Amino acid sequence: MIRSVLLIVTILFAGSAVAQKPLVDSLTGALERHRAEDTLRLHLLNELSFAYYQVDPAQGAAIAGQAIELAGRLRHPAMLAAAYNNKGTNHWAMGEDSLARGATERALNIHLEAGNKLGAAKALNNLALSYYNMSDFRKALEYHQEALSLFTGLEHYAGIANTYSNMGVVYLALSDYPQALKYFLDVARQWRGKDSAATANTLVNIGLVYKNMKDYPRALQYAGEALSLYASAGNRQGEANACGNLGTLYNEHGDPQTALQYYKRGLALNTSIGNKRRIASDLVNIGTVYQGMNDNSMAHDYLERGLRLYEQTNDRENTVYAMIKLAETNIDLGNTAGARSSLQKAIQLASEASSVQNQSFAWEAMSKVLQQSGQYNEALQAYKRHIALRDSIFNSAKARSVMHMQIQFEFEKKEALLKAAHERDNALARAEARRRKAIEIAVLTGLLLLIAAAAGGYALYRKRRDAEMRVKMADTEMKALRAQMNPHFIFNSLNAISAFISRNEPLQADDYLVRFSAVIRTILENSEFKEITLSEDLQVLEHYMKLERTRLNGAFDYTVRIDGTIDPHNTLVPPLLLQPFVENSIWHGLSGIDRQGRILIDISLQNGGLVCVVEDNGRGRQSRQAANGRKSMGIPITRSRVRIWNNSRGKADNIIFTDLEQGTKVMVTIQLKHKF
Amino acid sequence: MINAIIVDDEAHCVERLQMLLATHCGEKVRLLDSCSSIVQAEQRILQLAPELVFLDVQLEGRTGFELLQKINAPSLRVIFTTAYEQYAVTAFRFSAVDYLLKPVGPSELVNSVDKLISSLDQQEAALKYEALFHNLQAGAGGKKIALPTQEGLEFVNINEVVRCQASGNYTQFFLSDGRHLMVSRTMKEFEELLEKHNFFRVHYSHLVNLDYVKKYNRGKGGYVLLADNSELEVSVRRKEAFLKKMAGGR
Repeated sequence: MIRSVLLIVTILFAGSAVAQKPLVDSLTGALERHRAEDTLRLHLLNELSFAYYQVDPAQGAAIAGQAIELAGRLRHPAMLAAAYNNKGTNHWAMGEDSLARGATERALNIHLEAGNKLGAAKALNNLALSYYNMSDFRKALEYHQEALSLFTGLEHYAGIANTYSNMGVVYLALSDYPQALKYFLDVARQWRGKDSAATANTLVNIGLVYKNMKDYPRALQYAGEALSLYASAGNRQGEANACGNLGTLYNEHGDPQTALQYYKRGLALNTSIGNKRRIASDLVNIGTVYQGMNDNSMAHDYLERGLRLYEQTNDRENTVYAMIKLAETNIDLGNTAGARSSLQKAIQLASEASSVQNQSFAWEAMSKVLQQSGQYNEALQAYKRHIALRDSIFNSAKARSVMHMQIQFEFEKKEALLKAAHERDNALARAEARRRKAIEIAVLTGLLLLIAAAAGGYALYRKRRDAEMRVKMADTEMKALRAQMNPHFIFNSLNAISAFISRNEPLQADDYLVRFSAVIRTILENSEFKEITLSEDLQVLEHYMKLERTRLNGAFDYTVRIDGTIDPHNTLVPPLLLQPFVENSIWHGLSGIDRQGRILIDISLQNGGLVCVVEDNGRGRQSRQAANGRKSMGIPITRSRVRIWNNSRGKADNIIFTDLEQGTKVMVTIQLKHKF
Repeated sequence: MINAIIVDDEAHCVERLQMLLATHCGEKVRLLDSCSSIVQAEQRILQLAPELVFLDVQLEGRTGFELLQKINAPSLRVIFTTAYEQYAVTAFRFSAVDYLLKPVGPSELVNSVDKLISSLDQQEAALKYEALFHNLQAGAGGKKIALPTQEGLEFVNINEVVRCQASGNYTQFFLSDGRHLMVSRTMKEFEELLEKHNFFRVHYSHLVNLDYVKKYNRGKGGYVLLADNSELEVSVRRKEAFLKKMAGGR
């Protein structure tokens, strides 16, 4: 159960909190009827771009762009700022945090220039929210604090309350429950009796704090109170959200029947509102409850409906989550093949979105699939990856608590400094002489600090220079090694041509020569680069194997297998990584054996490294060396190249040869690098 | 039947092409003659009026392009042949002109000839040669690139390209005059051609002409603002290389 409880974080400057498709349609219609380029149109554009952010944020960002352009022409700073703010909100919805932050900062600057303190405070709050999303909690708190002081100066109570509420959410993320609770309770006191929606929002958050503290009775009490407030105020979206929260709470509390009741009530409400994301969320939650009750066919039905809806939104995280859950029910229903293919897709999507939690879940399920199909080794590998990912989540939670301690420390330091200043002021009134001395000390300390900073700076500079030099040296060495690869390959191929000629087979020699020149051309082009994509390198390798297969009259077959979780167009390798090993197999392993030769290239991921295997069914290494004493030059060169690529020192073995019952297996492990 | 001549100063290349044409294109191409110098070729083309020339890029220290510039035969079609002149190959790819790499393979030759027979659109061919000559003379920024759109080939100055956006097997070109072109090639192909001309792939789906970058805003990956006011996210793994390229100029 990860994401079912809703975090209510209020984004200020909202036209309307629940933006829906009908609203978008009616605004689009109004915009089409009103073509004059005036402030009314600008207003409509702003409303529309905000309305789009839950429906189609890409379109919303584009509309905000139009609004920015129009506001610039009409010289309307307030609306311009609003447009930038909306642009930020839409980028935020697409997960484009850098762009979101940039747009919000623009809005902030416009407000500051115009002396619009209220606008600036709102923008500061939104900026804090985007830092919160990027998990930079310290910056988030700083910006909230700035917003708070502006709101306080303006005596803007709604702003103060909302900021308190948001700060509570940040402390909640930092697992500082007492602090979070303090802020939320403050807010609740302010709103109670005045604004039922705001009170209900706060009650939801308080319930969340208790839930995280595993105090279910209190959590249920607050969530229930929020629900009845929303219901009596006629806020149907709030009511639906609160139902979802209660469902989750009851399910975690071990009461699935009640959980189902609440989820279904929420589902009915969301369906009548038409909020796709929330409908999908309810469906997935219901499916998960059924899954927990071992009612797999019901679970499958709900999860599938939920997944289909999520796929229509751009909520990737939840789409993947639903995909994993559905795969789990497929496992229990015995549909192993279906589960496997959807888990492969889920893993790929999750790793693209860098969602550690989803990856962890997916690998756990994958290990079950593999176990069911009897692939115990692979199952163990998958399980290990699940554990590794889970541990990394635990570690980041630990890092968060360390950061919280740090923030606390800095706060106390600041407080101490303020206190010290205050006392010094008193002393100043009493003795002028002491002040002078204090200044002297300050100057001296400053000087010392300056010297220390300079020394530190120099040390840092030297360290960086040395690091740059090491990179340069590795680059040069890599280049030299690459240059050695080519002549080696060329001469082996020339030998082959010479063999055709001496056997008096001109047509074969010619055909080989034409293909050889195509391969060498690509190799020369690729070897200009220190890294190329896996797909490019495998393409050359296939051309090479095809060439050799022709030369040997089809004496061997080859297969190239890439693990489904690898994107060969986005994975980088040093050029000609596997060619020497394949060449070794062909020239020494497979030559002269009395059965059909076979070469298998297998690329997979293991423990975060790219594992490339070349396997043949030829003569093993012992008898091969006896057969012809020649040793391939390409292999020691590749060994050095891989060592540089992996940045590994000493005897770390990146290339492992294994003798099989029949043939040889080479396993090359390189550090995984992505192009994008 | 197409009438053709071969222009190449190396006898073994001529012989190879003659042999391949006789064995594989006997019913499509009638070989009229072969010449080993630009002067000789100029005369023979005027006399024989062939429809097709197989033209070597390197001819006795001069280039086959000179020959093409000298003669005025609008209906003449050319298939260039070259061993490893990278600059020429790049120029051919920019202009979508037919070429064969030596040693010529039989299947490649048959492909080229078939392609030529099936598209005898003279106007388009003339445009291709015009773009080729333009590119051979123009400096880095002034080159023209042939873009296969739905309506046919469109020739665009590369310094008018603001950015390209990948969408599946298609690439969308955004030009400085505000036009968009949908091109039926993957962005990878254009990345290879354009990255030497101050283009940079900032993101899985965005290739950007660095001349049009107005501003870079820092962030996790950060984003760039282009002259047409589009804002594009820079992917985290491309950030360092991007900053290096921007700092180093061209």
